Amino acid sequence: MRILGISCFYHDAAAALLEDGRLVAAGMQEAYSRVKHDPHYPKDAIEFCLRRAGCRPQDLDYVVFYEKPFSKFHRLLQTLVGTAPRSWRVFPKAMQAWFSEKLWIRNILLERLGIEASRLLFVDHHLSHAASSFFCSPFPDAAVLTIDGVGEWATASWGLGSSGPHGSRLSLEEEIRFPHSIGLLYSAFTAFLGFEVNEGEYKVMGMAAYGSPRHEEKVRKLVRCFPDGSFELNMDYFSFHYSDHATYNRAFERLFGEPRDPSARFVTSRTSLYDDPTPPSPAELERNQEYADIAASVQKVVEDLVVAMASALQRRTGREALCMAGGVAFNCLANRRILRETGFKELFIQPAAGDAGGALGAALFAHHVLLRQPRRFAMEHAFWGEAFSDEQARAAAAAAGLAASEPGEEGLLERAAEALSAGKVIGFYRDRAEWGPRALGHRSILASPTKPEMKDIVNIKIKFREPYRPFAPSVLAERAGEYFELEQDGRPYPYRYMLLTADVRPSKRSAIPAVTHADGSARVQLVRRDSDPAYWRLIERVGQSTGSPVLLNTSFNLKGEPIVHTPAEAIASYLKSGLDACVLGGLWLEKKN
Amino acid sequence: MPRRAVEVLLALWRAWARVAGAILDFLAWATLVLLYFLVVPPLFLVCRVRLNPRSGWTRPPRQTQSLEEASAQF
Repeated sequence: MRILGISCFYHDAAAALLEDGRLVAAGMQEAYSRVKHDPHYPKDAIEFCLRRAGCRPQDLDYVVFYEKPFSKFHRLLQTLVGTAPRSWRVFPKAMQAWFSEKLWIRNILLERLGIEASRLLFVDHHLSHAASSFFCSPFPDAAVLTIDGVGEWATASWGLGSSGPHGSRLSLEEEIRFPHSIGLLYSAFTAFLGFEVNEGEYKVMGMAAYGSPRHEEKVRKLVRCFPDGSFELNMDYFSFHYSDHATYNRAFERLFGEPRDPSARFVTSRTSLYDDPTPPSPAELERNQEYADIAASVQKVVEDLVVAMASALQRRTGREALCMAGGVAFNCLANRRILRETGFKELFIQPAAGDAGGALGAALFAHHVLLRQPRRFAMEHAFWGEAFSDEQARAAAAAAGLAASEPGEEGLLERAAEALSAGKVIGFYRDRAEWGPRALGHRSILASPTKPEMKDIVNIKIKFREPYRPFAPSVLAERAGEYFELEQDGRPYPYRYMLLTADVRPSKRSAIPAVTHADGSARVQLVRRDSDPAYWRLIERVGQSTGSPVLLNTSFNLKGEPIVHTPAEAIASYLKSGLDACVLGGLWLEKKN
Repeated sequence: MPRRAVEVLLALWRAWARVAGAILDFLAWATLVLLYFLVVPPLFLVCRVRLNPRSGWTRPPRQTQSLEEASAQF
């Protein structure tokens, strides 16, 4: 049985294909279109999934869309009426978008795929999120918590999932409804701090480490938390419910001051200036410290809200395992606190926890709940994207006029390890692409983290981005405990997907300074030999040479671009950036000094 | 016709198409704004729609659990 899941027309369009309940392929449209968070119909991602499965759309048993479009339209209409007359500016734009495309999703999908109407299904947004986590987890029984910006009406929900010999069950018991939303609260601060909404939230998380939560009380004026884990926003401070461009209003600005200029540099007494010749003035330092403190404050309040929800859920359900999904599940600081403070002993989050993952969840929900098929799949790794052959890599290198050598797998790993140990920065592009926004060793830029200046080199000379931004470490799973203070000895799955932070052991901070963030934490990736043997061997070799089996791992892309997808894109980024060398499938490329 | 004249005509046509497009876009926008003020504020006053003033946990009104429910878009 083949089921295709689709998410699109909001952001992060994606497709995922199941065959008899096992995931065959999953991809995001942005990889193909080169438009970050591309919301459009994921034609190329769908074609990839079908190609990988060797089938045509007509061979699909079901196609499942990840939300209910008419319910979402109902929310839009009610919001427009409920916020009149302030909603007049957003009305024309919203009506044009809905009447030209979003109300005809059924027709668009049927026409594009050429399938019968009876094969097209629609699953609620938060059910899709919940299924994407529970049915990818190894747990037969778990509580489920989904938190995002907004789906149809729900912005957060909890439920229960169970599987047994007689089938699976997954239902959402309660939800919190729009406009009360943790995701939109965080997005308002993302915009206030000068970043793009739905893109810069992780930059706020990175900025928070440079501040202290001294504005926590102010943030708490915006949101009230109740003993049952629910919350409500004080809508006097927000405008996202009646505006298409502003998420907060004047009252918010009166409370927190002038918004940060997006083009201004972020510099505090603890951030690096690297080769910037202009020293910051005391006023600039003070202003930026204020923004860092605001970031730390909202991060603290959001963590408290998520922990309160999870704690209440644990008390109500008594379950030991928790499956999380939705954009807020990317908040790896909050995830760590869930494991520490809520009573849940197990946590699962799949690597595409946001809306892209809805495609996978919709397909899994149809297979297990609607069609009552047994579970045969747990997501042990994230490599479900497209792979390119060495032949394609050779052709791309030849087209770029690059001389490449092919030393074989062991030779490649040896050269890569030598280069990394010598302080070089390399591109590491091989095998199937990662599913989700994190590069986990198949579309990565790698460097040795043993020298503190490596963070600035990769940020400024390789990725052309702000010097304060942190980097994640990849570490051998077996030796991770030597370097990081892990929850439950590193067993939780989110450690595989860079979805949990851990404190770097104080004794090791000087050994891996380039991946130790300002607050002493790191968004660590544990690399397991069974799920990625080549990457594991590379880290092991580097460890033999440098003494630390840890690599700095960041996504293979330049600032503002999606992660490289084809060999040609990898070569283009390699040539444009300060990368010293690149593993491209079975090829070794090296720049001559 | 000399090539230069063709180029000028084409440029004029493109400019006109842009102006006509902008006029149509404006008319569509103005119509929608007019529609909004005719319909939405009266609805607001008559129906007294409020946007979840106190949320808290609520039971989802409906939830897809069967193929039949999944075939619907709401």
